[in-house]
Amino acid sequence: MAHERPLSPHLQVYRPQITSVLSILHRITGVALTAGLFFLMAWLLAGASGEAAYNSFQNFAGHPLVVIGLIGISFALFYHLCAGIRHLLMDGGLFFTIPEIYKSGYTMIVAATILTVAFWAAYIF
Amino acid sequence: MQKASLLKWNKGGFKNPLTRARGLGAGHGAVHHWVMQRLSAILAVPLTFWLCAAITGHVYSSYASFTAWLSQPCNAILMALSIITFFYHACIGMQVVIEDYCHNELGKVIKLAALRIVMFAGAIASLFAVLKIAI
Repeated sequence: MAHERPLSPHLQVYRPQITSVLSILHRITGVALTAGLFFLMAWLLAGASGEAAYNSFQNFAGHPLVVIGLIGISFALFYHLCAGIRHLLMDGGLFFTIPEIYKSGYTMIVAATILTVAFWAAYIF
Repeated sequence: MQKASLLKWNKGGFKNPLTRARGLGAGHGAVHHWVMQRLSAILAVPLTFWLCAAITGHVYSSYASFTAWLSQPCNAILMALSIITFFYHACIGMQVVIEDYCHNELGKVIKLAALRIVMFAGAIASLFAVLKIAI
């Protein structure tokens, strides 16, 4: 019953291109954000469990390693947001030529980076 | 009998009869999945901006100000809506990732079941937390 045939998506045989790299990053950031959702859950549950639990959660969230992780999650969020909007526009039939794919792809990366920096600037200031 | 079933090509006649008997093949739920992924994505766009503003404003604020903020009906409702939207969107998105990269049929079914249980439990726990703070 089992056939030993090559299985998609054949990532190992293709040279990376902007289309495939942006696409797989959309998936990777989506998986990372799923983990991030449980950080949101922990924040809310700590708030529901009383002041002591909330304070210990804040200590945890303020740890430098956790902050680095949160910076990564925030970039994943803004990348997935921008790439998701681009994918919705592609569903509507836009960006189907090669120049448009490059232009919208680079625009999306710049927008995600600006949003990440703005997010942390808004938090710090 | 075989010829008769092959003639009914639009009723699954192209499938091997054994495959059909085992219940393998298309489940005809893909369009609904595709539409719900897009609908939840569209709803997630404004909620993302709201959630970012909420997090920057309150994740490191005091317990009293955080609970006071989440006790306001507008904030509690938007947080509950965000939880449902994001957990649902994450669940159907992770489903596609598992389906694409997990090639063992039994392992795939177990992972999909575990995914739905974990995401459902996470959403319920988060909603409970919001209600407990807000009410």
